[in-house]
Amino acid sequence: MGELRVLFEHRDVPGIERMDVYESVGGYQGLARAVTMSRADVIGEVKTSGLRGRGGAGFPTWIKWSGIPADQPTERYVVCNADEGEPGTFKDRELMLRLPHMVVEGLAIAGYATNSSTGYIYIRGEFLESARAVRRAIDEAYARGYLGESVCGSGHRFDLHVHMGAGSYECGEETALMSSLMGERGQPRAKPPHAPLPVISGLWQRPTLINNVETYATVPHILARGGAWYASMGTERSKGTKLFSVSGHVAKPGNYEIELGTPLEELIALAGGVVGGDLKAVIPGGSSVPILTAEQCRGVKLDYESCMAAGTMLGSGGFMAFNDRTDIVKLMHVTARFYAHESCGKCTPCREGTRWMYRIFQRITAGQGRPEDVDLLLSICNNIDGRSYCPLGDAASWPIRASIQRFREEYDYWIEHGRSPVGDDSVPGIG
Amino acid sequence: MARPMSPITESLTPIAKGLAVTLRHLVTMLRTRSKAKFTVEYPEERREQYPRTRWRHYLTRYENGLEKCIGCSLCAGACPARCIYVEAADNTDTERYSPGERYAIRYEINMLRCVFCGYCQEACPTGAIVLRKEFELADYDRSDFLYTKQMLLEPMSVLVRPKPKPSVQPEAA
Amino acid sequence: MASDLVNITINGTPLQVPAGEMIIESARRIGVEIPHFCYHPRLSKEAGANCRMCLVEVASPRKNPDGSVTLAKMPKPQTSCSLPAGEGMVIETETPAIIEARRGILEFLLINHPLDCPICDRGGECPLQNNTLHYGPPTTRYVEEKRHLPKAFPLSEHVVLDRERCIHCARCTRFAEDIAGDAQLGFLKRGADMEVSVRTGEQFTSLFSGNTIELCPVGALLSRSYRFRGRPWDLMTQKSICTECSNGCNIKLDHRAGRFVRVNARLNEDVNEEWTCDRGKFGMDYLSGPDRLTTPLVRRGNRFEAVGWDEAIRRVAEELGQAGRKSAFLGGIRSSNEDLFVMQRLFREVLGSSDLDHRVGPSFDAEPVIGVGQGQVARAPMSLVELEGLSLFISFGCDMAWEQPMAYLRVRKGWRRGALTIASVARHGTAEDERPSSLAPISAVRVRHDEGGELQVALRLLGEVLRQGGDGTAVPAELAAKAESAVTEQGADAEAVRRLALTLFEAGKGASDGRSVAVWIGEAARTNRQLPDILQTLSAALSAAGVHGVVQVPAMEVNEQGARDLGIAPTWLPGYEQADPAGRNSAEILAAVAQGDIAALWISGLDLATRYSDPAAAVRALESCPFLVVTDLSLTKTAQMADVVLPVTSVAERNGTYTNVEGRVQRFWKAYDPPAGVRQEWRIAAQIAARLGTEIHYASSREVLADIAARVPLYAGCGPDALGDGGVRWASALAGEVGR
Repeated sequence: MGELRVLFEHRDVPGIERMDVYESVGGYQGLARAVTMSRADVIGEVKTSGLRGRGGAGFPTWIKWSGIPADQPTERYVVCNADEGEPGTFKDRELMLRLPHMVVEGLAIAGYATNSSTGYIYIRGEFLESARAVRRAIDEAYARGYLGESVCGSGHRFDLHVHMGAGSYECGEETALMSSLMGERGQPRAKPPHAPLPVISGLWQRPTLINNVETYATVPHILARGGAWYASMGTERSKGTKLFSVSGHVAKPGNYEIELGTPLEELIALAGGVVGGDLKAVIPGGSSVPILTAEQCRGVKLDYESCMAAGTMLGSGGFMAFNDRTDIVKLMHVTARFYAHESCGKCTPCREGTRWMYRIFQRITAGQGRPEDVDLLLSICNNIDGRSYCPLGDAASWPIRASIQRFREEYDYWIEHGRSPVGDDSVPGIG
Repeated sequence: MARPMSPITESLTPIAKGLAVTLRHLVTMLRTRSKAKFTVEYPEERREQYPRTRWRHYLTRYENGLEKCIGCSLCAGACPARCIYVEAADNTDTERYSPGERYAIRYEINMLRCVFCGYCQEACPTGAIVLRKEFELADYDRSDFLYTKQMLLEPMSVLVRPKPKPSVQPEAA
Repeated sequence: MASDLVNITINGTPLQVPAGEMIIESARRIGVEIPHFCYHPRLSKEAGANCRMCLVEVASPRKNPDGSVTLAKMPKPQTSCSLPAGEGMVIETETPAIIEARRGILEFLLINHPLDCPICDRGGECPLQNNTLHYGPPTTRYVEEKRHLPKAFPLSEHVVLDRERCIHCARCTRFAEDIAGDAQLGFLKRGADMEVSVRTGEQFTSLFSGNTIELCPVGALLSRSYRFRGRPWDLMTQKSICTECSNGCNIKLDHRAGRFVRVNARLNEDVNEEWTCDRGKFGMDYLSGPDRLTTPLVRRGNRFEAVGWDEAIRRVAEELGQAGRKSAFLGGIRSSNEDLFVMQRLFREVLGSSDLDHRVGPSFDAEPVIGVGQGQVARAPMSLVELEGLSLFISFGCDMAWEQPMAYLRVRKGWRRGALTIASVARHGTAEDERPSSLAPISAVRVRHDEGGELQVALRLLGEVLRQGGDGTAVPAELAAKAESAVTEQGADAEAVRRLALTLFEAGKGASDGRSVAVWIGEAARTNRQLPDILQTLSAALSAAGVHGVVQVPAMEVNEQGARDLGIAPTWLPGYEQADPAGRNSAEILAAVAQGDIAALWISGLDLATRYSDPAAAVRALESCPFLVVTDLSLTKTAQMADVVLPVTSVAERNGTYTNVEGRVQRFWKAYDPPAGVRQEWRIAAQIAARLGTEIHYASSREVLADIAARVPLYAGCGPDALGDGGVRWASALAGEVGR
């Protein structure tokens, strides 16, 4: 266990974002092999690999792929969710910037496997450079016949379009992304049991496959080297490798690819260890997942099951480490502000609850907290959790609830003394 | 039962009984030479009324002179005698009667119907209508019992600070 | 929808419901009320489920690997408004968790709600108030500042928006998009800053904006005309009929202290469902207008003198009696069926005149409905419900949303379902093209012609149909020749008409034996003097294309259909019996007045001097009229020219019936007393008849209607006992259908 480069194997090769270099290190071999196989066999290979969705939920990828009715006489769409908005996560950005062809290849394979002829990459509006890289890669792929009329000479048509988001976190939620892609307000739509899955009725009521950038980028490797090879990495139920965006109080922040099941401490060590003090807390999977105390971090392995057991989630891989100069209340103030700002406004609990929590944090960090505020925050979290329309509401309540459960004394200190328990120079500051 | 009384006996008996009471008190008074007085010389003298006495209605004002009544008609809804009629209208910046958007352009109470239950006062969300202790409400003409807003509204002169400030903004609800 | 039934359990009560029915509806079946804000059965489900008030706990059967079935409870509560019923579902609506969840949602909804209920027009009939009372927390824990936004922002001349009160349920935006189709409302910004808005610089000009006021579950969207005019507990409500067009929307007429206050929609699935249009909702203020007449007026030289009824009646009776056969009647399209029936008895039976007409121009001397088949039912106007099921609807010079609002909504509904194609024929620059509520944007074919070019388009259409292989055997040779020459002419609309002909054939293909194509002739085409030719040509085009269709000149005024049915026409008697001898139509009557051939003219509820197709001619004729009597609510231009003006009761002041555009006889009820000094029109007519020595005796409007049902076979099924609240369509009654 430890660092294991599959996606990032050739990340540092100069010019890897260009077709020639990418091909020279074995690029598009996965697609070339895929088009010689039957659609079912391609999906079978993905099934063998045990690949799970890398966007955060960890849903088995092959189930989605096989859910697309590939034989029906209707339009089908493949969508790549590149609206990477989760605070602390920046792996997709680098993937698209450095390895755009890997993403394009993965999408082309998905298009072939689901018999779809149109694909969309929905890229976060701020990722201008990544979008430029992807656009250039698409142009190159068209020129080489990896996209277009006949993908790799297979006779299967696949067109790929880039769509830029307009800067809404909510549009990273797959149904909201589809609304936005269709030109509607970026708000989520009904999901099972209220409406069929996107694989049955997604974009324009047509079957739509939607996956994360990293998921698509993994597929070429699985097709090129076989699902069994991929499944040999990782743990029993969390196969393969995963990108982690390590940030916070570490010496060398950045993206790291590790084998699933690697101990948490090892990832911190890989990033050069904690700086500026001792480790106080870790958010392992982006701002939406519950925070862990340093105590809880001990012995935790980074895979879907172990994180769940430790009371948090692997999420999108936005790994944030905090040293003991960190003020958890201030940290949650920032988090609450983010969710209040990004709530789309569709449903009541999220729209009103996120703003309310932010207001309370504002008051507490201004020294105006009341003793009942902590329980009030907990109660608001409970009133949002599970009752909102989409997971954004849950994501807004989990970190705050966990922080109260695990760092309640800091809240009490703020309320009693009107100042930070870790001193005036505590981080993060809020601007 | 006894035989029915004759009409004459029937009317004379209560009179005799009443006179007996008066006589008894007269005798007692004379015997004890008491100066105790049970009546007052109204209208020169008046009794103090009980604190919760409810008589004539008033529409009160805020200290700055604005009317408290917002014309919401909740008093009319609460009134068991259905004797209150309210019509509302918009306040404008140039013509402001009450804080906020709405004021009563007509407010009428039919005092002949009113039972002085005080439900209107209880229902009022702004404490505009109050029932005070003025009880001399007799008048000569039935139409005079239809109290209009002008009659009900507290005069400006009772205010501590008589200067109205017409540009007062609505309070945060 | 699947008609399969599934077994579900709600709060322990097992029941069978159609598969896919929303749980909130299923719960209603057994009397379980689930509180909600955003849910509305007629609005789209996709954009709903956002208020989260209707949460319930759900358990579904799940198959285990060993084949056994266990109930698996969903981890999160689900919104019952968007949850389709599935086999074996077990739903709980009153568990402690759900009660707590509702309380939480209401607390959230109320933190930014201003709670200015005492001054809010919705107060007293507000779903937010009601739900808070039943399910909400008694107090709030919110101590921060509430949001502040401008109050009473005017969206249009009819609607104001209070953004502070909005709970973002999206009912109004969904209505604008799904039902009205103009999509003028939407959300701006996001999160807690989200607000309902029209596009910048635009006004909420939809013709159906008033419905959003009724849909709004709080006091965010409010009527400007009703603003501060009364609280719900101040108001009395009466069942009534909207008088602003022929669709006959069922309304609730709210009044206070003997004055009209507002209109709300009254549910009638066959007519207006639960909608109204702005013309009706905001157009009935005339009922309490300041210009109402309250006493009869008699001309003395150049001015009117108020007189008593005895004198007025005596005067009118004298003049009519002297005129006898030389008396005539015009108008009546706003009078009730009872008025019209007694009136035509006065003219036909007492005065011996056949000169009655309800039409306001020479161009209308044509059959209003041309359909296939024989007998009365084939002549019946199309029902509003039928419109939804058509395969092709052609709006011919008809500004549907304005002229026929409810028919417009039905056509739109059919279009949304996907089976109905719409074609729109109008002249260039029609008002319809400028307006958001319009069929034009959803028309598959749009033909635009020059002023007065209706006949040319109709001929061209017939020509195209014949060229493309339509069956021309029934088409008169002369007409076919005209059509052939029209089609060879150059014209900008040639291509569009060709496509219209193709669409006609297409519609004919899929048609069953029912009426699958309707052509509605609107006001613009009705003023064309060649209307009869247009009708004939269009009808020939339909039959040549082999489609079962109907060409219809739909009634436009509230009781225009009733005036047709009850024989306010020179050539037919009540029930379309042949009149013998035939009288003169409106153009001929006016000509006769000008020539002194008519001695007394009665105009009822119609401002002929402005509404006649040639107003100048009407004014000239009226000026030379020896004796003119006008019955109306106010002193119109026509009334000002009268010798005697008789004030009559409004729809709110009496009982009666109107017949709507689909031939549905509908009752309205007296809401409040009429002003002293006005009378019902039929009573006036009966009193005049009595003075002339003929007793036309009825004790009440009900008796008149009973007599109509007894004497006019067309209305046999529309007697007072049959009508109920929703009315009866005479065509359905004749065909033996019950309920429609």
